Amino acid sequence: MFHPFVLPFSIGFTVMLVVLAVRYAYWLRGLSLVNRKRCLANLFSIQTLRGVSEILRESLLHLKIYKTNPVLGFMHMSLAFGWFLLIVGGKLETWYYTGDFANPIYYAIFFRYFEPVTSGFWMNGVMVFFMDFSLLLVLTGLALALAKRIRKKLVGMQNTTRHSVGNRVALTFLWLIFPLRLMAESATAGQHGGGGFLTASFGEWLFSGTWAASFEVPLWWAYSFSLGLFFLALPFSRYLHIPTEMVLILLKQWDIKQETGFRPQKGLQAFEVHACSSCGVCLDACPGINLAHDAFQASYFVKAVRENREVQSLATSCLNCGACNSACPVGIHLEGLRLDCRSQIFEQSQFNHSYLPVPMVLWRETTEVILYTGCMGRMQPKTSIAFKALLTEAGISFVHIDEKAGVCCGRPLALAGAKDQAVKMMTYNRDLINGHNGKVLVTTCPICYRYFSEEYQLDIPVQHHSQFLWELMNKGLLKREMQTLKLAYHDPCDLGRGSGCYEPPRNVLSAIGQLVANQKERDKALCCGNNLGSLSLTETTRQQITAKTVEVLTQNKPDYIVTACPLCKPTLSKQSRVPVKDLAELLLLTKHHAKGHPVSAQQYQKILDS
Amino acid sequence: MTQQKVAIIGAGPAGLQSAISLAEMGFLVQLFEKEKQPGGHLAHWHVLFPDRQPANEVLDALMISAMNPNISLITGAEISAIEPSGRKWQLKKAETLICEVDAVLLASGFKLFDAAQKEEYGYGIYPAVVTSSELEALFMHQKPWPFNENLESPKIGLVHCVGSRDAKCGNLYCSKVCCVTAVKQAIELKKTFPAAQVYSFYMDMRMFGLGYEELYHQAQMEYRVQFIRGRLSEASPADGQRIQVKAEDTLMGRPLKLTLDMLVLMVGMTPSVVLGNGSASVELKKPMFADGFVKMPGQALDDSRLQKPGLFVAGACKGPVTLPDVVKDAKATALDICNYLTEVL
Amino acid sequence: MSVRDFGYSVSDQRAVDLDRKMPDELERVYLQEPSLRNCIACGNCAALCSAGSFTGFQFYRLNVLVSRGLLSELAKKAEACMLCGKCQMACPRGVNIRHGIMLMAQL
Repeated sequence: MFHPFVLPFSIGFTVMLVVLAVRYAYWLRGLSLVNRKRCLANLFSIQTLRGVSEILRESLLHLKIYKTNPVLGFMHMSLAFGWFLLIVGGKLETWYYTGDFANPIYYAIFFRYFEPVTSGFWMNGVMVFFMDFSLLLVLTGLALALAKRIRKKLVGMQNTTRHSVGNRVALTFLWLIFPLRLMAESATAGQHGGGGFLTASFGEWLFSGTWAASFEVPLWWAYSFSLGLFFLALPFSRYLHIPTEMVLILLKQWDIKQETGFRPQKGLQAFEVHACSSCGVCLDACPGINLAHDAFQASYFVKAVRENREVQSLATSCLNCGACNSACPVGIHLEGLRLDCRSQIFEQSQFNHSYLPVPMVLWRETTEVILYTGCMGRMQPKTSIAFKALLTEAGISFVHIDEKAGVCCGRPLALAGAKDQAVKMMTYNRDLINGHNGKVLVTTCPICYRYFSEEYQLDIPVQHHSQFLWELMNKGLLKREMQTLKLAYHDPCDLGRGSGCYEPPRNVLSAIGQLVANQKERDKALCCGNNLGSLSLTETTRQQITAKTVEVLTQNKPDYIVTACPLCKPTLSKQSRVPVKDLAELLLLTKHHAKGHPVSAQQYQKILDS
Repeated sequence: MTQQKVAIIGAGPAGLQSAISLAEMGFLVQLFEKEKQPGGHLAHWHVLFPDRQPANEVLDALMISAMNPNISLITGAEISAIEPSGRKWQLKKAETLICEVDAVLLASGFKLFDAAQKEEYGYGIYPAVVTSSELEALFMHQKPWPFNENLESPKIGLVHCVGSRDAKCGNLYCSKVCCVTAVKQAIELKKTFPAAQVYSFYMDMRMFGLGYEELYHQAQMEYRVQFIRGRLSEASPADGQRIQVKAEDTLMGRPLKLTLDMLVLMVGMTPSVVLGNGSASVELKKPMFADGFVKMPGQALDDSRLQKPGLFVAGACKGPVTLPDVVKDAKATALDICNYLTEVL
Repeated sequence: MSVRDFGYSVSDQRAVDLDRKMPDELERVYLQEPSLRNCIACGNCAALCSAGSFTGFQFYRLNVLVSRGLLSELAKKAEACMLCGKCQMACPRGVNIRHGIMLMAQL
């Protein structure tokens, strides 16, 4: 059972396996010692089984993509799962037919050439049907992929990744594989009989004449060549993502931790950047898509990293809003990758905050709330005034520890890739917080909130003011009546995607008015345009992003846009015709204005007077 | 021969002056004003720079001249669109036809920048923070001073460029009149409260007109106004109703703080209307962020005609301008309209 | 040839010598963050600076040093910045101050 046409496939396949083995071994060796130990420790554990099941769900069925975009998900599923079925089905078929599991790989691939007509009990019929069905599945996916090339909107995408020439060549081979398989199998079926509902009817229709006999072997050659060339190209093209994604899933299941530094040539980061399929889901998620001078979207950034190209401007432009991160179907840690890249770019940038004194706290005051409004908070006095008025209304004692001056929480430095250099600032803030005897630290700034919760390891709980206010309402300490207000809520990046806090602000707003929906909410929310994550995005681009976000927020004609961030609020309010308020402001205003009339600025006067 | 008709949108100085000129030339003028009273911002101003001429004097003179049988003033009328109809133009309010005329002059003026946008300056939060326009009302005793009038020497700060020259607010342009207005208001403040300490926070002093530099000089020498080069960063509450401001004294290269009894924000000019470029009709729309003033296609030699024949623009809706320049522009535009109407006949 | 005595002299130490070529390092800073050229030294950034309440840190002054090519005077001056971004939120000229600082801190 051999024919020379199996050679192109066999050579390509073998070369691919060797290259993959070498590359993966090199990358795995690049893992830190701790991570390598974790791999070994978890190799024979339930984690591996979980990994396999995740591979099945994500690498084959593509359930995550399916959830974001059913058409796109179906396209990926039919291609990947269909091909997988063809491979597994082929193996089972040969095993069933020969009774020998260990037959050469090419035998299963080109089985129909060697055995055009198979017989057996009902199993044979099932198998023949199954194989043709799988092929049809793949061809359906292929048709969708073709349609996507011609009109991306057909698969519900606004933007698709632009690919390099090399990748397009590999893509061509991939696309040729399945039509050629159909033709080759049909030719064999037409000449020798056999085949399933697809190949038999195709064979009869196209290849039953004697003239077609001379087409049969060349078609198998072509099929084998397309397979071989694709496998040859795979480890050097974006299709490396197919096997790499599976390894990455396993690594994650084995509890591999993010490694420090930017080393995309080895270790976990190598697996991450090569697991990106450039599927383009991150493009539509990005608030800066089609606006910035550089196409800095995750897909392009990762591609540039993979190809070892200059990435500085791509790494520094991005807002780090996390939209791509939560949209990524492969679960690549895109935010972290960018920050690691920034820390390499600004490796030489030296900061020194040794000038910071030990914070002066006169006496260790006992209080319920330690209030921290943050740097940006000082530029938004209405929010602080309103929140303090609400605390007073609820009878909660508080100390505002950074009212006059304060030290940055450190997250902005971390966002610029200089996380290690924020230590002194963190010590200052920690001392300041510990200098008071408070039950809870409440901050009105999502950036501070995220950093306090993730990095500070404080003795007391940390809450964002939206969470605290919802607790007060829940306990009945703040009472509000339902108003005839239509409210649009804007999720701040660091509060929503960054900290998973979606419900508390919505709960508060639902208690005083009607929340109106928009098309980009929660983990899909657009950035206001002023996320501190971006270093080099121009003012013009930022303002264009803001315009887009305001447009989305005002889709359903709300009376107010409400947010809970001292960066989002001024940014949105500059461009919005609908008034923009902080959650605390609105909650305070509904106390004074029972019927939900638009509120004059003079309202704040009363608050100050009282 | 029937008299040709011109509609003017806006009865501020530009609208009034061009109405007067056109009426004197023998045209019938319909002057539309969306407010209840004509006069625009001039009606709310106390005295004018650089000679401190009372604003009502100027407005009264305009109103007397406007009492011309050829002018009919319609107040409380907001025009939303202008549509061509043959060689004529129709003015519409929503869908209703208001009138049909031979030419239209847009003189809708400017809007003051909404100071609440700069929340860090505390406008709308602290009563001691007022706008330059509110200060004029204070001078006219239309409302009480936000501090005890019996204070021996109140401390007052004036902040230039609020909403002007500010990319964050979408306004990159200089509003042109605020610098000299600040100097004038500083002098007026000193006249009202001779012992007051007045500080002016500027980025650049733009004293471009004749007599302006002299006024600046006078403010320094005679009235001892302190000019500090540095943009104010934030205002926070101090004792009582006073407020503390922080700024950088860029000439000293050091930060500066100051407790004030009143902070005046020199609010800039922003566009009041943008022209929607529909098919044939021209919609008068509310401007969006960074929309800018009405853009004139003409170069230096033609600054009043839009590309549509019979449509003219005068005054501050084309951009920040001083009152004398508005009056000159209105007269020149009236002449342009006259020439156009003669050509049409 | 002896230098003619005009009865006055300009001290070489004090004068900013604009005849000197701009150092490449600073050209690169401008290349990577062009908005730095947009600064008009209004001082807003310094007035609300978080680091400025503890030190004499003033971004607009550093930026003048960059524009005058005074690389040696710039050394270590950016290190006090906390990168909090208040200045950038307020900057009327839309300068990407934080990026500028990151680049200056490399020098």
